[in-house]
Amino acid sequence: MKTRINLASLSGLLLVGAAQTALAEEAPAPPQPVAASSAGRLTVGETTLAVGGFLQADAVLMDQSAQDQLSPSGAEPLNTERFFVRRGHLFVEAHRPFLRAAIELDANTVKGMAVGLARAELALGRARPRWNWEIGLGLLRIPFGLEVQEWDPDRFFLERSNVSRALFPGTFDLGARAQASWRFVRAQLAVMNGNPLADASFPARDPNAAKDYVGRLGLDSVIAAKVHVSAGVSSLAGTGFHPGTPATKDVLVWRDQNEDGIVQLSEIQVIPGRAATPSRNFSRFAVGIDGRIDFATRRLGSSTLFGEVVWGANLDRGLQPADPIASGRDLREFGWVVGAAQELTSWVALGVRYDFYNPDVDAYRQTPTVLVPRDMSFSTWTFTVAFGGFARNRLLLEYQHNRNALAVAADGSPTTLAADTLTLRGQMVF
Amino acid sequence: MGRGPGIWFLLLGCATATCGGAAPCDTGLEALVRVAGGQFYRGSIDQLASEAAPVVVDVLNSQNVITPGLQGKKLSGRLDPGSTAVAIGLAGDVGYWVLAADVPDADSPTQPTFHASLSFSPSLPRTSYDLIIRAVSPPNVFGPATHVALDVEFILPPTGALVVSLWWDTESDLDLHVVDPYGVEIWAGNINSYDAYATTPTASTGTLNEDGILDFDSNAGCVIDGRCNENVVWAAAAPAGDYVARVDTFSLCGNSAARWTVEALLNGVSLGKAEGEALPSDQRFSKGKGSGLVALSFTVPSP
Repeated sequence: MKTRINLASLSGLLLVGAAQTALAEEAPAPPQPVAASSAGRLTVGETTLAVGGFLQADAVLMDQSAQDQLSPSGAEPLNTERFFVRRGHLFVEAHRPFLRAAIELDANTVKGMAVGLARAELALGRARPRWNWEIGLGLLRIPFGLEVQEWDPDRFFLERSNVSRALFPGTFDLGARAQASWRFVRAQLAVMNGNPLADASFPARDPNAAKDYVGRLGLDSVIAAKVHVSAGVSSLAGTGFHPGTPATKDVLVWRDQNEDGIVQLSEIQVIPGRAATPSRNFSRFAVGIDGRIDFATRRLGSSTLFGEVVWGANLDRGLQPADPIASGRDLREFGWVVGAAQELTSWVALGVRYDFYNPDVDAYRQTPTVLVPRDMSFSTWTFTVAFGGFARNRLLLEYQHNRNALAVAADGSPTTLAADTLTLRGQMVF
Repeated sequence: MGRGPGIWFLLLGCATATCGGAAPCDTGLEALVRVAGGQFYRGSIDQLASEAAPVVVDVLNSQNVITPGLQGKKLSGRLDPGSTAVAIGLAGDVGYWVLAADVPDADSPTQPTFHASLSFSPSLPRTSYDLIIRAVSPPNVFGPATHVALDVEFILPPTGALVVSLWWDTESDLDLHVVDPYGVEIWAGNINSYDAYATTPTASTGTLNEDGILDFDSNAGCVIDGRCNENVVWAAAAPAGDYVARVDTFSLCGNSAARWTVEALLNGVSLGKAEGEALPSDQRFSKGKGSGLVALSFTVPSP
């Protein structure tokens, strides 16, 4: 038991116990300055090298949005019912007294063959049984909330919720981070570029000098035998970037207004060139609260309950990227997620999750007669069966029932665009 | 180990997942007509149950003649008060499109409007179509059909005494080169066999409009026009003698290959036909006069 708790800590889950970290009978160990894994280790002098990784291979068995067509605009395949490698991570970590360095690569076929940097951090720190501190630099996990800080193989569900993926399209960003723990108190603070991996605009780059400040303050404790509780408050304050436009040249355009196929003088227009427009910065922020409880009883076995609520403004960087300069107003986001996982036997577990995300709570739409509020929300019911239970090496079958406002009903009102999915995933940690 | 909670999760999930409808995720690329920004629904628009209202008050359509592959045809109009959307489709098509209604015009403030941009399939099989427009009001009440007759004007192959045609199957930039009996090469860099600066007495003696003319440089510079067809046409009489047609793979424009066909027609009678495949290796040759691989040689007899 103690070993499993340590693994969760190692994954950077300062406050969040992993689903499969069943239950601790002792006080949870403070976060250790190493990555989560059962990596093989080699010690040379004062340096210890650890090598490890994990593989997640998916088969999308059904997707209502899949079509045997190419996108008319980008010629991208629209079929999503396929086999693909979701994540294939390999990492090497070097440990010396007070020092740690880690490089982690991700190979996947989500959008064709791709290999890239997933993590690269250099850290100075010290760990003791009851306290711990670390200062790190590089490509680091963003210290916000519950889902962002959960190690991918530890997550019971295949992917993070919509709100987490929208506000944090990647869980790693370049920056500097300080984190510490004392008994049951956990604290993290980071200064980061604000453009995480998988950012829709400038992934792993930073178009402005202003940085994002992000942190979390929380508690993590075993409050009774086989009951592990964690909770926290997170915050982000930063600066987004609205890209300017380059100068354009004059363009002569023919628009066949009367559709006769003949060029007429009145149909020729000159679109004058335009001077470049400057880029601008805008403020963004997010506040979140999260909580999780892992417990086990003789009758039910191991169980996990978790939830997270996030409020934000101009922070969507993944699903519907927020640009208040372009839209002319602030875009306020609100989302929450709640979930539970239950061990049925030692080799089968079930989980259900509901998540809700509204990328623009002030949205409206124009009907023929009036301006009415518009529900832009996305919500998802997720049902997951894990063969292998809460173990890291397992086979997962997940059904997602998605609701959104992306389609138009026959009477012109917004309705859900069908996007339910059934996915099988094999996962192994090594 | 109890199983109660898990079973409840499963039941809850099944019950929730089955409630509520959803619009299909469908690009509608198989439909003969497409409406920009519209939601595609499968099923023929003329088979939908119809009520007496709402009606389409009027439709503004500037041309009833369309061509296969036409894009951006404007269609607008006014709808009955209370209409919230308009359904547009061709009678008998695989589906129809729903477009949310727009705000009324100032001169008829109670009547919602619609503004559609239509595109048509490049492979329209018939010569005439019945475009159906129906106003829709909540909850999904379709009004009577308003019909707009559309005639299709096909781009016919060019006619002439001698026509040498090249067509291919991918959005690539292939060029047709035809060398006439005088040795004059007609291609995108010299679209007419008339040679005003001819130095040899055997050069064409015709006029600008009587000699062989290349009608179009399709997909030139990978600016895709969708025609994938080029013709060299002698409208009146073609000089007798030996001709050579070559196919130059200027660029495959990112495609892996292009299968092409070259045919020569003399007064509608085929003088020869050749087929081949342009591969990436064919792009490496120099471009210009004399370039390309010989596809077809034929002789035009003396009259």
